Amino acid sequence: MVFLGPIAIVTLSRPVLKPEDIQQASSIQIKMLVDTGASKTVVDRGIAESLGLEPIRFEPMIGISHIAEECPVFLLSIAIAFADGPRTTLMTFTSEMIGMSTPPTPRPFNGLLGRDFLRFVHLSYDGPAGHCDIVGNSPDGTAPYSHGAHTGNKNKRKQQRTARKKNRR
Amino acid sequence: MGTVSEKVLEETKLFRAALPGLLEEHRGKWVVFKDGSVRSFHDDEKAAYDAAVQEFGAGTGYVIAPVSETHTTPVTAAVLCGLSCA
Repeated sequence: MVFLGPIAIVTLSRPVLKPEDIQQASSIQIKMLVDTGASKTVVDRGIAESLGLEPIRFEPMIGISHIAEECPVFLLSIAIAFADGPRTTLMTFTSEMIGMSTPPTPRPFNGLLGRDFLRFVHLSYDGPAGHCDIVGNSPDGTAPYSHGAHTGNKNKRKQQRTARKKNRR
Repeated sequence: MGTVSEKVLEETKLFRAALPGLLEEHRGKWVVFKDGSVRSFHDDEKAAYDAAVQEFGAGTGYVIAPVSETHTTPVTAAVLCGLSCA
């Protein structure tokens, strides 16, 4: 049974004004839960602040307390690796994230990738394997790029990877 | 003097107070709002952010916001439906 997931690995950094500044921006790699039930992308507030970011405004959000709270909105660059056959391409989006305080207990992810981010991509979820392909468009619009977001059954995923390789041959 | 975050929260409240007047003529635009007034209008968020950073510097207590009604958003669908273990 798949208890949790799918989880995508993304790199967050301060939004850059020019593409050539991407390499110089301090960044952090985190795990985020792909959550089609979340309308907005949410990140642990401490992570956004660790990048030296300041909020661009506040928005009222309702969490598990069921009480509306003013939460900071951060603008970030989100880099996500997409596989294009044997190649891996890093695609970068500039997107808002809501900073929320989280309990200090260990968690397998540090935020939710919500529909405000997911509207740019297509999802394909393999339930038995707990694997989710996030498919984005390549810059030239010719072929889809996919990011494997997964959890759960590693053996099943390995079998599927092997099968895909065989099919390609 | 408060932190930048506190300043942004204060500016957000001032922006919301000014919102009804802005909605009549500028609905759908993005604004840079600082010291209680709109500094510039833009077609998208990135353009507003770039303009704010160039004019005031990064993280100096401005608000970047869409000219649209503010809604309270549940973090995720489970919260929206009121689901809880309690």
